[in-house]
Amino acid sequence: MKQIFKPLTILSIIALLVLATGCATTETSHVDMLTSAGFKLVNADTPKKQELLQSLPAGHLSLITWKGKTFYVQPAATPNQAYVGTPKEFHAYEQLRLARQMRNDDLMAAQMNHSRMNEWNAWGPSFYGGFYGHYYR
Amino acid sequence: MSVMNAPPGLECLEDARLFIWRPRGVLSESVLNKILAFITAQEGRFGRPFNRFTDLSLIDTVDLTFKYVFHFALYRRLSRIGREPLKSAILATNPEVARYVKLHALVTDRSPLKVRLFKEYGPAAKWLDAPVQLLHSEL
Repeated sequence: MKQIFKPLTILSIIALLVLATGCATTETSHVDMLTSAGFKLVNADTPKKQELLQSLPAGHLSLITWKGKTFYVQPAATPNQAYVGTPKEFHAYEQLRLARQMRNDDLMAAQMNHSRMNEWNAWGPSFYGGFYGHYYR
Repeated sequence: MSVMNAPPGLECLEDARLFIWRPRGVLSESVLNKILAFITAQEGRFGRPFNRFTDLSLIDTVDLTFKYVFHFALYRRLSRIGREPLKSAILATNPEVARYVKLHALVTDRSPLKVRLFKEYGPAAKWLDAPVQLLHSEL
């Protein structure tokens, strides 16, 4: 993660992804979601890193590419720090955000319909064969 | 009171209506599968909700993934639908462990299963409305 900001000279921001976090989502829970999804808190310890952070909107994730690799970055509340994740962490974050936004009965309905679950792309086979297959009642 | 065939480190205090679990060593999927099966069976056995206190301060290593903990928490959330609320206080001092506890709490948020992360025994005991000595005591 440390090297993400290093070659800022060749860093290009190709897209800005503003992610609505939902009206009921507080800043604290949003940060909790990021860290729970595996985002790391990274220091911007050079002027160039700090310059990049200042160009990003506070409270939102920005999609950044560097050397063909994709990263998601959100400036932290503390100065010169940012939460940084790869697409893997972003996918986890999206799963978490969706699960929190869905009502229980919607989740239950989804659980009862495997094909719909596959469309949602959040569960794997082990889920049904494990928790639900053995324990759900 | 200890429960027969309980996973290692688990106590069931019927008077306090409290499960206390103090796992040691590696916190893995197999360990959580066992505790999940046991807790689910006990919930059916007693027919009334027991609050939980999980002391993860003695964990040496975490061998878990986001996917597993997410599904674990989602299962717990759905399994409590329409049932009485219960509290699950989890003590974690290690940041990596705390990360997974937060994930569990986020997924079960706004469900009858109230999960909260604590770094000290006192606030956990207060939230559970249980004597702090109970949480400190070893098996």
